[in-house]
Amino acid sequence: MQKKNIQSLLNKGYFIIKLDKKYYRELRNFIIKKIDNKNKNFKLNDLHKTVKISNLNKLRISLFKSINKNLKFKNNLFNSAEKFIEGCVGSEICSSDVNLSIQMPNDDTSLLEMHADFFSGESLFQINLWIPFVNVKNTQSMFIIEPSKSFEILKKIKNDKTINFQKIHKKYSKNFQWLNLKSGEALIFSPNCLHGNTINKENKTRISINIRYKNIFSPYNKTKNEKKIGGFYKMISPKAVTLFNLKHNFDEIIQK
Amino acid sequence: MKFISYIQNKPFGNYYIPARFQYVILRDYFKKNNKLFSLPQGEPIFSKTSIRLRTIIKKLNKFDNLILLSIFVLPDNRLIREEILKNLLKKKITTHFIFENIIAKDKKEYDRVLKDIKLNKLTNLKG
Repeated sequence: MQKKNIQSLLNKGYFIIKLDKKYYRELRNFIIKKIDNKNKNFKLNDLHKTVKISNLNKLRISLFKSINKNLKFKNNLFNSAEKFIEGCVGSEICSSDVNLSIQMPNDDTSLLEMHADFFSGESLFQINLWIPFVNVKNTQSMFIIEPSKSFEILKKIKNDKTINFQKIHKKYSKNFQWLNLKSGEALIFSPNCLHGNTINKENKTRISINIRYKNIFSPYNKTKNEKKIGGFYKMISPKAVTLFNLKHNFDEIIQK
Repeated sequence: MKFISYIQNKPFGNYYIPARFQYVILRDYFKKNNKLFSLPQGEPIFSKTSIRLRTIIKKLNKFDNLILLSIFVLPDNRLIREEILKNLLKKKITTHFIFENIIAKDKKEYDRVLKDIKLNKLTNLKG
């Protein structure tokens, strides 16, 4: 991974990469096939022309299940950006399930409002790989707030009884960095930074997936409901010593 | 009249339910009420002020419906809890507490919710 990517992650909370074309094409074709549109000229960003918002949740759940059942899809996903993921979290990696997001124009039922992923007990030591399958810009995309400003806001979220997300949104919307990506590009970002979306005011649908990666041996804390390996994170690339200790039970000897 | 829901990523009352299964319960409740399901927003795990719940209530319109899994997702802090129920009442919001099968929309019903939570705390005092 290049130094400019690391600098961008440290300063802006993200960097943009070009995915391996072969793997990206396979991922995209899988999604298109599962949507099963009979129209040969069908474009993913026109999905709102054929699917009603009232049917969107059904489609989303069906796609989510298909993607996460398919081991090849998850492998292709990892392979498409492997060197960058390893550059961020090291070589012994675990991941979450793959999440899928469909943001149709003017749909207010699919919002992911401003948040950081540790709001729900996810690790501070993870990075997210976010892949849109269409070109995205402005509100069709997602926003992120740079690390130091995110920290300033998070302190208020934790302790300030007079503030709410509406006020935060109003005061800090000038700090939203809307991300413009072309199909075939992906975003790697720290989900410790506040991020989210608003109602898509463009006239095109966004279909994107995201997945969290972290090191198997990253620190854990004492937060109740912290997401851990086995439940939320699944092992991807254990190395020999880890495999050795999984095979044999030496850990039982040192435990009380 | 909109239906809006909310989830917590930490234990509440005697329950701990992963977010994914909270969605399943909520989605089923929306379906039974013939309402279009919208993704619930979650409370930050570290928040001491129930900022997400307060924001949702601020955004609700008069006579909307708030769907909660349990009375125990309401804030632990009594002052914030009372303030929230006061605002719900003021905006004439109907609040559905799925596990307790309570649909509260007037002062008497909201007071009952407050009393039930208080009684639970009294009988489970932590030293």
